[in-house]
Amino acid sequence: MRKIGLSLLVLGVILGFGFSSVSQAQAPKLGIVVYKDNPNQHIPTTELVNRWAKENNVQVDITIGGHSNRLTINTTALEGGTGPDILMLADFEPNLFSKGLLDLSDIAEKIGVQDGGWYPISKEIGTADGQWKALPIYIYMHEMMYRKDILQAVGAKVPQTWDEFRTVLKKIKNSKSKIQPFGVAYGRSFDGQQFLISVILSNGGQVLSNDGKKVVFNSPETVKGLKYVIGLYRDGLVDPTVPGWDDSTNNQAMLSGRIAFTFNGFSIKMAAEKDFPELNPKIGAAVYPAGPVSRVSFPFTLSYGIRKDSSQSELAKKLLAYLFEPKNYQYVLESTSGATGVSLKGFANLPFWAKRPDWKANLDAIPTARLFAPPSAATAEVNNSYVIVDMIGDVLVRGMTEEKAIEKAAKRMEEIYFGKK
Amino acid sequence: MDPKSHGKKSTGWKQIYSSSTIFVLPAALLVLVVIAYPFVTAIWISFTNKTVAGPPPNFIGLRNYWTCIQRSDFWQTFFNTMIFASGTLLLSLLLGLALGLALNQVKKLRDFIGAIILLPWIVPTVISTLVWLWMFNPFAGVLNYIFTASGLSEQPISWLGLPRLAMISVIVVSAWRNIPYFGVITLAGIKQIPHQLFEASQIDGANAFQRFVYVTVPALKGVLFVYSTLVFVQTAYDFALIYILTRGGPVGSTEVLSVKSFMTAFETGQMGLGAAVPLFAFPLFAPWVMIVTRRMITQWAGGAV
Repeated sequence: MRKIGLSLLVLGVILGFGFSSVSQAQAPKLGIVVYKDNPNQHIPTTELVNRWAKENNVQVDITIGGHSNRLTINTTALEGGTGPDILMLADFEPNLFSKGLLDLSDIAEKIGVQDGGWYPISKEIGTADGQWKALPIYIYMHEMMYRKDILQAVGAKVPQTWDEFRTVLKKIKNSKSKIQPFGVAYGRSFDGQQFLISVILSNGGQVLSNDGKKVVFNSPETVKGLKYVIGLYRDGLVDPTVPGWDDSTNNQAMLSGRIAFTFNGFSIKMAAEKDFPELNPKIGAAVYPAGPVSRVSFPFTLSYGIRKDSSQSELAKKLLAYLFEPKNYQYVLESTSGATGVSLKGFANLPFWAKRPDWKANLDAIPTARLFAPPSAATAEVNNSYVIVDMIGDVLVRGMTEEKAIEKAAKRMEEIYFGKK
Repeated sequence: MDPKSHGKKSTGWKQIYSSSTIFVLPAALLVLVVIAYPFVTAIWISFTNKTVAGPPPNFIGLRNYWTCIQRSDFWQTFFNTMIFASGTLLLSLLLGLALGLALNQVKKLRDFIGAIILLPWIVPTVISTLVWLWMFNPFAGVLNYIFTASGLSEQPISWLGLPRLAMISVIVVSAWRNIPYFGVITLAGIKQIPHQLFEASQIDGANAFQRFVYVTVPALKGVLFVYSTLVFVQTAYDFALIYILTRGGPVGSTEVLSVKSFMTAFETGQMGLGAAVPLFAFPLFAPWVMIVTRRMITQWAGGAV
């Protein structure tokens, strides 16, 4: 009797494995990283992915990747050949990891035609060596966030140029208000770096020569840009504690009513809308002021890429094509009121932009989006090693002149780009 | 039990030897897989031009190490690491010693107090460091509230925004984690000292300070040397604390080898160079750690800790 029971058990286990492998064979597995940096940001994409998985009988494993863990998820997947098939790549990473990414030119072209064409910044970010290696989904523009009530109180308009910006800050400083005129991280942070790079580029500064063969960062234009940023601090127009700020401090400062101006993505507005209903209507957003040469905003971008060694690459492409279908793209975009930004021109005329004028700054800023150098592994290193924003610290806390700090940064760039001593 | 008495029967020794080998084998395998394999792989990668998702790497000898030496920011990182580890060790050692001595004087609830004091050491680094980050917040942090409210400072202090202050701040946080560890080790060490030694020195007229210098310190020297080494090496390669608090800033003034390695390997994809950065300190630490390990084994074999 015991033998029969044991035999039945063994048979059951074998059959169980058999059924399980049959059912696994019926539902192919696919992994995707869905981005979440703000509360509930991942929900619409997760809903879409789950719906697609159900319709196509695919078992999808969703990994929520944010600012802090996204890079390690990507690197582990690319190096180990396991984990998510579809990765979420930031800024210059499509170029940095291009050798491990699948050529997506075919679907990128189709999506471009279907969704009104890619913005130039999307193409620049998504392509490497003439191939589309990633599909930019979010172009988070950096905006000027300001207190409307403070501007009104000092009788100022939203500044359109950097000179006007300084004038408005002076007015706020000279007013009776106790609020600090301006605050953004003056140290290692994305916000600080985006602000400084935007000012330098709008003054005509460049990292590389037009042919990409020389570092031309050490120029009078760069000096002018850096001196402007340092000057704001020295003139007392910036919160004195900014050298110790990080990416979250300016959000806190704006939401606690400490500062009148900052430069940031839409996370401040999202938090204000959710948790600070009284303050929210007072916070406005506008495109970066223009410099003497151009109006520039250095964006933060996120793009989907597929691992080259993925065993489900065709399926992964289908899922991406689904996410970029107009109705789905629009669904994700509208659920964040456009805070995530648009990578394709076809979504510029959606009715919701008109309903929420403050949030439209994200769309209006897209034409000002510019990178400081063509995407490459070296450009990624300059960006991620904080070479540019460290100049502020060199001047303010190390006592260097602006010229000397730029000379030091340019030397570091030469090491990175061309391996010079 | 005298081992020599067993030596007469060689089969007995063989049995003991083979059975001990079997018992040690799982631990040895674990060490090989978890420690030796990644370590050897890291050394191998540091001799290659490996990049993330790049082409198959080529052996390039010491070129990554040469690149480290030549880069303008590397030496600053190296010295930052030494300052961070030395500062942490010194502060932890002094305050930990004081804590251990104080705990020794406590008669009631010593175990309970000891457990409470150990909390900073038990709490995961990421959590405790995030709490410190909030405390250092320039305008909303409790430290600046205390300083400005008490009149010690007119303006909020930028704890993590000025190079020297940032280094002091990260050392304080790092030491805060290690002080309880040293305190408990000190207390355990004091308990090992025969009470007669203290009584004899007291009879000889030694005061409390002299008893500390001539009895306590020599008795604790061995154990403190061992744990100091472990803390120094562990701190030198600490990543989470610095990355969360300063990301190596301002201007690279708190950038240590582990942070530099992460930024190089992960954020710029240069795995080979990233592996070489922390291994640069290995030849410095290895002999020291070997001496300590030998000492620990000798002490344990001798029955003392």
